[in-house]
Amino acid sequence: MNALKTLILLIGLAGTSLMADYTTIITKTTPSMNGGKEIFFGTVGDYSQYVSEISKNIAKHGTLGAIDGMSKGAQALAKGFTKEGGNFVGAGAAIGIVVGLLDPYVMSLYEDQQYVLIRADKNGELEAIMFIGDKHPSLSDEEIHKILKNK
Amino acid sequence: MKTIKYFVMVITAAFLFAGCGGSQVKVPAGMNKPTTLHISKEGNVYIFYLWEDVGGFRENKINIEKFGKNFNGIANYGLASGYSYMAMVNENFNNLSGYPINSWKAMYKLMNLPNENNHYNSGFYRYMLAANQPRFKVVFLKERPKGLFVWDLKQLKADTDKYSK
Repeated sequence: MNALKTLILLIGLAGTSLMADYTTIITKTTPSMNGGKEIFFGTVGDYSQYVSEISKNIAKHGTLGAIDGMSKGAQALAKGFTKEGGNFVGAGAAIGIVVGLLDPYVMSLYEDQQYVLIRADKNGELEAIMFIGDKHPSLSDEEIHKILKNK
Repeated sequence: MKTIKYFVMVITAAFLFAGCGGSQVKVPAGMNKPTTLHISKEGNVYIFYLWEDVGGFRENKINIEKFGKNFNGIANYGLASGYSYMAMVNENFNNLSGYPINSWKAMYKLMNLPNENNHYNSGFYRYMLAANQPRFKVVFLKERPKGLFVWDLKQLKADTDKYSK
């Protein structure tokens, strides 16, 4: 009886995964970026918060010293917001934009399932693999992570 | 009485147009701007939209050709102004907040989500379909900031030239 229950449960889980309706999109900060280490996995909203923490630190301290102690991946992202990471036209204004436009962005949390996995190479360039899926049925964090890791 | 009416009309018009926001920008030499492409500027943010109906709620789908035409206009404007890159800074997809969509190829895929009715409530679709004339907010960049997802304007132009007519 227990075996039958387990079988039904497994069929149900497999069915959920098979029926899940999603798409993945891969982008890179530069076409020459090739592979790298995973530095972030989570919802698009969490990613926005993650980037926001970095930009707020920079805005508060005004220097790259603010990101000492952060992970290499966070530093790679942080450098994108500073002149040290490239001659970014209007960097100060851009940080203002980042901090100011978070709320609507986070709203996407309770809509479709939107996840992102970020990889960084040794040069600080990034690769993003986005997951956009229908919540009916939804996939678990682990299932989505597995899908994105294999892309 | 006529003066009061005239005054009320002027004030009303002022309020209506104040909502449009942004100052008009000069079209750079060498840019073949579509007559329906509207460009304005607020601070260092440029706003692009077409005086054309892109479909929206009535058709329950996105008109990719018109979006392509708008993005082609963005690429042409940026290149003619001496820029090489741009970041989208719209609320629902802000490259400066880390949003990773940075090419027409990725954008095209995003606009063709499987089973679009099921994705109708996603932030992207809701934003895109909420207005018949969606406005794209853009910050142009001369150099590529390392570690940020920004758009290469030459590539964007190459990918969207087919929508320019």
